[in-house]
Amino acid sequence: MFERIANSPSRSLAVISLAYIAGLALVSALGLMPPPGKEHPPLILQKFTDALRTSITRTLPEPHAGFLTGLLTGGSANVSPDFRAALVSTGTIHLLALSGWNISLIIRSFGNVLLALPLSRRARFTITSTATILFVLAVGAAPSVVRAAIMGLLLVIVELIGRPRESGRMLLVAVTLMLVISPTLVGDLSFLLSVAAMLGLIYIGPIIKPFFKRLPEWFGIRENAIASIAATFATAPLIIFTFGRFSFISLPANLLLLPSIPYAMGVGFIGACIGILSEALGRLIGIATTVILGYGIAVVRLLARVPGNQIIGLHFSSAAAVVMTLGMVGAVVLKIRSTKSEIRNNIKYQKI
Amino acid sequence: MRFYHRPKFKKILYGIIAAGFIFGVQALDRALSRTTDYGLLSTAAPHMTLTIMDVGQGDAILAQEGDRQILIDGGPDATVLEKLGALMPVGDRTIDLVVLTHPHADHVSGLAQVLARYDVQRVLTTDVPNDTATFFTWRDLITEKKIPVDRAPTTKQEIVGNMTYDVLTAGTEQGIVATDHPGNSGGFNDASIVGMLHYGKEKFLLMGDATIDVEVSLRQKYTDLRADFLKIGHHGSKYSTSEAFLDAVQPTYAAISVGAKNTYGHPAWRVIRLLEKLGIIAYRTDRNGNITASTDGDSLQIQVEKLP
Repeated sequence: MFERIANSPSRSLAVISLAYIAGLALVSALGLMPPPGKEHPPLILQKFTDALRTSITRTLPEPHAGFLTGLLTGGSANVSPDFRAALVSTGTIHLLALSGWNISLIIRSFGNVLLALPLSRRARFTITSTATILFVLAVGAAPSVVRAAIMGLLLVIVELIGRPRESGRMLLVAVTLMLVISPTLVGDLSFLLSVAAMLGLIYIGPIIKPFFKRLPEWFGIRENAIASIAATFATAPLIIFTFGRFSFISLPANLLLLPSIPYAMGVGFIGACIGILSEALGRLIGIATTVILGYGIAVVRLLARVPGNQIIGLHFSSAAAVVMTLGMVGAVVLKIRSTKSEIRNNIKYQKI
Repeated sequence: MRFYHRPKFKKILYGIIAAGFIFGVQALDRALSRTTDYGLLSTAAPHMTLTIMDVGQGDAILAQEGDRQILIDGGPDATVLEKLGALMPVGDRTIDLVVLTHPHADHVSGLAQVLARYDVQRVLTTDVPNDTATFFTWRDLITEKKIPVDRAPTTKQEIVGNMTYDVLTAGTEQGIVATDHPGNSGGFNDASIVGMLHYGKEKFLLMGDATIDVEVSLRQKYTDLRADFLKIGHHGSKYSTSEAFLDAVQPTYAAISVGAKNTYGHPAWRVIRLLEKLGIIAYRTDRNGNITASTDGDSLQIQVEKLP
């Protein structure tokens, strides 16, 4: 395995990323992280986060302010019960959970900004990862956030490498590390969901990719479509089994919503930062944020209004969930096998 | 190469399509929720609107002319923030006047949230204080943000844009001392600022939580109490809204700000039947959602979010 990684073109990347993930895991293992319920992150960073939250509430109307606070720092406490219910019924509440996907978005947009600077790939990755760790500390470094950060970094790496084999291996290493540190995670739903979503991205993503060639690439529509559908498939058995609900509207809601989120987060973050210094300027940028966030809020509200958008009260036995999962894994394995034999056959023909 | 094949043109086109989509979806959402909204593109509203906001069991009323606002009470929790977000123009973070009719929690709690988030230019409050935590939060925020405070009944009139808010009675004028009756009648409720809002020829009578005692003294004090629109006192409770008072006001429309399934039994059957008997068109926030009265100064139009 190491030989393969060592010989691959993305060698340095993989090594650095593994080192970072190990570092993050070490931070959590050494108890540098506060125990649950008692969070005492570094003062300056925490103060900055608090200032950011205040700035958001001073520059944006509701529910925009609560939504942006949730997107940037996690948690749905700032959202009104009505709007939270709309988010739940459209299957978009995960946006406020500071999930791996959420953090990967932050990392990716930060990386895109760095792209404009004359930096080596390695330097860029080092800076982004350091920023990720700072971000994790700034929002309180709860264990779930640390795990999400690890998953987020992995997601970015998976995208960079773009090969299921290596990504799969990295996921395996990360999951093993986390389970060694805290074995009780086996029963943790959010952990299982993010692992399932990652597996979906790595293995189901490439399979469904050819079907989306005609979808436009702008605003990351194609990329988001593939990722959402892959993640929806992979997490469906678990979600139906635990919540007994299935939202028909979840997929279109996510497809419509996701492309706007990086822009909303980006503009919102800049506006909030400027709003700390000057409220008047922050409010000016706040107008742009309001319009972009307003789109997402309108999508959620509109789709939540669709009658019969979800089935509630599904009874799904554990056996059915296992069968569904096994079926999915089987399909993926078969597909990979057939692709492999196709490649092999192609090589044979070429030789002849 | 034709111009529409050029990458730059395509980029611009996609941008326009995306922008159209973004605004279109929001417009559709607003149209479906029937929220009064001037939007980002229109410059100024040609008229004034008064919205009895649906904030559950409490009072929150927004009078708005273009980008100038009077907010009267804030309801029992943070719900008012979302209502304001939908009603106020995008980017407007200034409220010209905030009125606290009386210091009960279902009127002051939301206002404290508003003070923390918006630039409030001026505050008008009754001269009877309360000694609850929410009231202290509100009072401390006013001190902290150095907001100028006017006290009724000393202050008799407030003017915001073309809107005039006349204080008919309030606080110590009603003989209220700083004690509250733990009941439904009298006490701080009677310390309510009762205000008449004028816009052109139109008049809106906003009762706060005033009860029949206040109605009696109002009838003695003023010969002309007529108003086209009446915000019924005290969430339609049985201690407010007498027939004699309605005869004096002669409203065409009445609004009751009340929460669904509240434990107080508001609104009272007597009040509902009385309104029906007198042929007054009545709306309730628990059934109609936001109740919006818009006027150009001459005539009145009512718009509600939903019909029961």
